[in-house]
Amino acid sequence: MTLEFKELVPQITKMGAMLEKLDFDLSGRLEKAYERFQQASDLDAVRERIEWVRQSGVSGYRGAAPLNLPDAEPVNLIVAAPEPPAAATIVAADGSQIYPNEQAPIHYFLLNLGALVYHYGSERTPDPFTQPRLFFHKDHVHDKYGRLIRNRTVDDRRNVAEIQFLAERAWEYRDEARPLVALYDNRLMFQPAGEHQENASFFRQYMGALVHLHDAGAVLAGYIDNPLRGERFIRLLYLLSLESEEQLRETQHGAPAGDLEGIRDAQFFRLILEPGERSAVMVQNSPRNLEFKERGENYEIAFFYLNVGSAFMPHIVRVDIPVWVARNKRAVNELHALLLTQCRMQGRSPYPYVLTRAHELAVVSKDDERKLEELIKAQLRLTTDIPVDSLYFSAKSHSKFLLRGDRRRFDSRSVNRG
Amino acid sequence: MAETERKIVGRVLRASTIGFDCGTHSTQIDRQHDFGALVKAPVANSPGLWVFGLIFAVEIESDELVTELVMAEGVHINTLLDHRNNRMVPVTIRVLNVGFSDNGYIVHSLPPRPPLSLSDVEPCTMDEVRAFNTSCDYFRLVLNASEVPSDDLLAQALRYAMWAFPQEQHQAFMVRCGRHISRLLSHDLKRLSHILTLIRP
Repeated sequence: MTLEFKELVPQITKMGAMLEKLDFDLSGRLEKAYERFQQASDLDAVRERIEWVRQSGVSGYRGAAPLNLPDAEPVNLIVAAPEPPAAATIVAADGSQIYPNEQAPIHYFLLNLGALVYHYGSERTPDPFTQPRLFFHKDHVHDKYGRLIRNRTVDDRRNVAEIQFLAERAWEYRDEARPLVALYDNRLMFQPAGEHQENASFFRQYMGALVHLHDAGAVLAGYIDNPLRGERFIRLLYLLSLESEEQLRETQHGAPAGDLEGIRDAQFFRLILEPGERSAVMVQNSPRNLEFKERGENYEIAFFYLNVGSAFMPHIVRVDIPVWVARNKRAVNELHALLLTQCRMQGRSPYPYVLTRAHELAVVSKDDERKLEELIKAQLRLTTDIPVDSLYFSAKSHSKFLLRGDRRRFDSRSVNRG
Repeated sequence: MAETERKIVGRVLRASTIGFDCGTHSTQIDRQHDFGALVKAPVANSPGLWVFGLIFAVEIESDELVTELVMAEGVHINTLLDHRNNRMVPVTIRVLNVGFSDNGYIVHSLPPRPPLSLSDVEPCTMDEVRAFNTSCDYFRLVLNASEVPSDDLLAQALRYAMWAFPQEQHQAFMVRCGRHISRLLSHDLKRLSHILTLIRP
């Protein structure tokens, strides 16, 4: 039975009527934000306000702040696309997983890591890497209460494995052409979602990988293609509108972006940044970032926004960088230029080519998942007396499979002849 | 040719008695995949029995990344190398069956059974091409094949086969083939004229 669209059409019409009545007009707030942006060139005034929010009596500011460096960029700086370096080594890594299945007789999960090394500026075939790893030991698939681990724990493991894989590749290629850019397809401010003890272990491993990348002299960047919900810069613009500490204390429990609430950073920078331009490099003021900073000044996470789109279709992305990269102006410029070069390779979908390929190398398709399950079943038949087929058989799943009309078991397509 | 040096055209993906498709990686594509080339594949569970066929199409599949890359201003050489050497770019070679050989005895007719999936598809040697072309009985199979560019396929197959004969026999071979085609297409002069133009030495 397919979806009954004739029943849905009147509901969609109702939905449209409701949306029409909502206020989507942000132009007034965007104008206000733009005015504040233009006036935000005084770095001392910005720092004064950041000092206010960092006092013990004030809480909740998760907005942007300038770098705590002598030559920090003014927050309203816009940097045009620089020239890319003559040569560079660009490494990207990504990961994919098969989550553990509560209903399967054998519990396991799989992490598959993919990486691509792209030799920019020299005529060389890029080097692909993949590393599948199957986790089946009870210590890996069950928590301390003997329950199957949650998907979020698998995600945390994958995130740590990805950055470690990236660090290993960067280390291997440390003697190749410089700069050595290491791209990670996620935010750099890793926040595991498990239990305290486990989180601490993941965080230690993650930080170990960052140190490894730092030792390799890599220009590390976390690429966030869709920073739609982010409003850290808008919060800063709101903060800049406050005249005094008293005013801050009075308003601190209100909306985080005050009178600019509703605008997102990406919306704002879509208006501000021309194709190829980036924003100033800033940091996010947050307890999590402080934890990174406490591991070492170099490991605080900074960021900038970048328009990788075209004049017809701007596309704002956020690029996270550790402070060891942020303090090196040349490295930031090279990263900026190389990201644009990589994004332009993909025409209508501006996204770094190396990341696309790392993802392609890592992804586990449904077909692969089925084949892996078959291999595991075959192994069980060989080495155990477990009645594998009956344990795996689910009448419900099998019925669903049979009903999938678009998937045929055998392709009987023959050569074209009458 | 030693086993280690033997190059295969591809491996069978799907097959019927009418023809078969074989697949290979894009890096392996070369002259042995030419349109009109004579290839052979072993028939399942029958030692000494080989299917002979003509390559009538070479298809290179697209994917979403390729679609995006062609829209870009230019394709960087490294991207091209990555695509050709690292990515899974499947090439499908489609073959029309035109005969079979049973322990060396060549028959210009459809084979009794098709090759099985993953069987090696090999290019025919010059001796095999020459032996296969000593008679013209397979022409009818090619000319009657539907949804296959049969006129161009036959012409190209003959030009391909001509080089298996000594140079002084090229003219005689083509004239003999032209006469046979004339008999088969005596009812369709437009088509006959087109093929004769294509095979004119």
